[in-house]
Amino acid sequence: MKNPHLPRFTAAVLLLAAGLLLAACAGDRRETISLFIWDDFIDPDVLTQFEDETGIRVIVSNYSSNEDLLAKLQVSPGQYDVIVPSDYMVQIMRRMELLAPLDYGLLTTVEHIDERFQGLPYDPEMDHSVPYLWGTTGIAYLENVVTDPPRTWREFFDPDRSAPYRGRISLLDDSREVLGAALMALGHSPNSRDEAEIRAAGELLRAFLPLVAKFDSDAFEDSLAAESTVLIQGWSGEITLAKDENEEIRYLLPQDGTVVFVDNLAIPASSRKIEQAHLLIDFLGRPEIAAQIVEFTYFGSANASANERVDPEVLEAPGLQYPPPGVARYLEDVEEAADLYERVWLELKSR
Amino acid sequence: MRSRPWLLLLPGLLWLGAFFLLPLAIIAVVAVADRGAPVAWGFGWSAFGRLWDPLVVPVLWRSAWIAAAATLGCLAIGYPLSYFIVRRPKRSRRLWYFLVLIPLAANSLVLLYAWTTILRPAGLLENLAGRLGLLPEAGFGLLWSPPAIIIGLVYWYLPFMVYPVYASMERFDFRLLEAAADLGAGVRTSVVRVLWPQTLPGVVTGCLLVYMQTFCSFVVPDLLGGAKTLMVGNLIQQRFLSLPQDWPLGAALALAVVAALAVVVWISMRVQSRLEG
Amino acid sequence: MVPAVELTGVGKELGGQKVVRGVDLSIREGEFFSLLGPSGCGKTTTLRLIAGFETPDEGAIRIRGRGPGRRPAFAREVNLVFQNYALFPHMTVWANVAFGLEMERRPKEEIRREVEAILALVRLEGLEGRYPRQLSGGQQQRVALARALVTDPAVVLLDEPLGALDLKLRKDMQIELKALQRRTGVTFIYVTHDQEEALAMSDRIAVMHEGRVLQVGTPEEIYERPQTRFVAHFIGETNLLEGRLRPGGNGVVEVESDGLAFAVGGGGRSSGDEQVILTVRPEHLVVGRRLNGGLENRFAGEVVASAYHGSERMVHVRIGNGVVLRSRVPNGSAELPDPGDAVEVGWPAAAARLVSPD
Repeated sequence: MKNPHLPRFTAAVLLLAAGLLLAACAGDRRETISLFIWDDFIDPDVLTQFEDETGIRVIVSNYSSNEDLLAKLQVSPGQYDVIVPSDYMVQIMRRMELLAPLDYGLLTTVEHIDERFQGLPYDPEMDHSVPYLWGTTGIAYLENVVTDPPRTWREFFDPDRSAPYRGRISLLDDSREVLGAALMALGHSPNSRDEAEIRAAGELLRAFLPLVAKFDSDAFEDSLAAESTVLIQGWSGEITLAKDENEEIRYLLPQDGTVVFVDNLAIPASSRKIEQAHLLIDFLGRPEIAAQIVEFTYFGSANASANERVDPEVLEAPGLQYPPPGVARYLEDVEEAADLYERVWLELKSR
Repeated sequence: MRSRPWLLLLPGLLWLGAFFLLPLAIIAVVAVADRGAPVAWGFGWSAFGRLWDPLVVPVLWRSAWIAAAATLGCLAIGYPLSYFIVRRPKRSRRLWYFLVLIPLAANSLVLLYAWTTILRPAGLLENLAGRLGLLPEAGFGLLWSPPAIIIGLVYWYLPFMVYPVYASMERFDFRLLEAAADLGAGVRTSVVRVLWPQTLPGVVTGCLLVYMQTFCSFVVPDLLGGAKTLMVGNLIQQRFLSLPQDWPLGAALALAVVAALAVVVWISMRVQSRLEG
Repeated sequence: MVPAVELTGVGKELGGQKVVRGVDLSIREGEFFSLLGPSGCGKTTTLRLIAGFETPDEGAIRIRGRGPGRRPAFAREVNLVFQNYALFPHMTVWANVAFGLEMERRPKEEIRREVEAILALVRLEGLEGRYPRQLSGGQQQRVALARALVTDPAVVLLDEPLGALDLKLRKDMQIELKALQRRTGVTFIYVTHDQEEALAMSDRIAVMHEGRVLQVGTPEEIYERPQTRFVAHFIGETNLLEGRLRPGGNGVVEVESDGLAFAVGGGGRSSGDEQVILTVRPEHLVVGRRLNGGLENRFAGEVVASAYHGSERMVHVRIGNGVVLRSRVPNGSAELPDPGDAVEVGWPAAAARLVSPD
């Protein structure tokens, strides 16, 4: 079939495209930097304040996993100016030399960083990253359904104990988190590099898998709020937020090991706007700004001075409690053992 | 002036080169490179060796049967649907046809989320079944299972079945059905012995389109399958995205899938040309 | 004897239009019966009603005395040869022909025998393995016939089956079809808009117009003794004259038209009304410079046109009242008038008939 209007239509589309291109090139001469960050991990209002103050516009894009971040950074160097990798990913990126060294001459607000988050093993001198927000990986459940919740990972992964919730349990879609929890249930370190220990964790999960509805890192809190799931492994911030939707949601820190993750502000080595990137990191470290972010995200701030300004009611939420001494664990780069983790993970999923 | 007909081909060739051959070439280069961060330039076939992993084979097998089930599902719904549409009066036919194509225009992710609210425990479906007294005590357990993946795939890819089947039925001479009835054939016999063989080329094309796309899908198994049921698309995605990265293996896997599907296409083209004599 | 097909008061409305109205037909066993009429006259719908593809809104259809009930097409002992043949393109000649027998679940051996016999009858031996697209139009036509005949139905319906063939082949197929019908003795109901075809092949013809049957009769009856203006006009060629009836002598009536008087001796209907229509075929008109006596009708006129048709010539003559009459003059006759010649035109009273104005 011939369409007599096609040439005209094509011309119109070309004109439109050309117009947009021109607008993109010439229309906006303001300076911009690109922030690559987790979904819902910053209050947009903060960025508006930053722009008002410095005239630098921040373009935000999101990723949903550290691995996603890494791959995009590798594929499009120079695209991003500020990124927010988690602890072990900072370690990996340092090893790969993907991060620019920080210039502390430009960072005046680091003095507010909580001592607990200084000198962590993944970046002991903080020379490539500044801790931003922290959270925990814990157990969430619906109180009206799960009357006797598991207090530990050992209890959580006990097939008999969890049997009543068969098909209503979700785990994170994250090999290190899930195998890490299983390792802790067996009394091992979540960073174990011992093949026998890792395989034993895999066996524990294999026995537990028939009860599992899904692996989900993106929408686990929505399913819990909708009561499609009733007992889950999840991250503190999302779960605290989901409480607004369903009052039955409870969150607890497993006593045999709670992973604490710290997400850090860092600058890719490939960034061409290192100076402006420092400006943003410094701005986010201001106590009043950091406090505003806590109230938006319900994640804990690494900024000690910020917490004094946060609504005390928010600070009391279980999701913002730091695990007691001896319970907190950090995930670390396991280097060559990563292949084994992935293999055991794949064996679980390709069953 | 001498005419240069090959100039007319140039845009097509450029398009083919830029959007098909170039990406394929890049993937091929990655597949023979070495593992690194993310790849180290080198040359070797080791990634293809890693394909024969006892973990990869069951995933390929599962992709094959889930895609086959989804294709059959699309056919089981798409064929009668196409028949229904093509028998409408000419004016309403267009309307029906566009209704079928609408899901293509909407955001598929949103539609898949809608399916989760239908299929989930205590969701729409279980609610409805509960009211009718048809709900087993444990629920259907549909969401986050292979059947949910198949339902999602059938929903998503149905238009790709309807399009070619409908086109072949539009060309079909429906007087042949009258002729069959006149000679004593019942409805089922007429469809099986007259309509079906005549529309088979459209059916083959539709099955091919659906099978190829469902075989490589990764969004539906994640969303509706609860990420418990890996398909080859998930595996490729993981090799690229999750740690430890293995881009050469991901690329080799992608190439293997392309090759396998090329064989399927080749076979069905042979079948089709035989059908058309 | 029970008629093969009987229609009583059959009416059918399609798309808000009455396409078939009050049709009564009785078709005898073994007859070659044609439904003849222009397109849109309702003949194809009548055929589809008999085939069972449509159900009548009113009236009844009986096949060999048995009522239709609500039985579908296949339960009837009626097979249809479609206008475009509707051969199954993906089946061989053999499979096409065997289809009806397979539907009747006849034994394999019997199917083989019957198919072979019918293919021999329509002279298609050796083409069993061909596909329809590998056959000529005439061969496809014969496959369609064989397919309809092989189950030994009470009636075979044919919907303009020769329409797609070229003239020469059509003439041959007419003879072949007729011979085939004679040999098998199966009742044929044949739909066509081609009056020559109908005249050449049929035992009887029903002429249809605007959903009604106007006249049923043998080809001779239809041609020689048309009862309505439409039948006279549609079948062959004719001269039609309108006028007023005037009593005459010797069993002859006279029609006065624009000051001229025409003697009509061929009978036909006169509704008793004064206004009548008379018809006289061109071959009955004689043209000459001076005609012999003995013709009841004789008029002076002028040749206005003369068209050559091979074996004959059609001469158009304007007579006194301005009416132009057409006369068919065989070639080779003594004098052939040219346009402008003053001539006489005449015909016997017995050749003229009165027809009703329908």
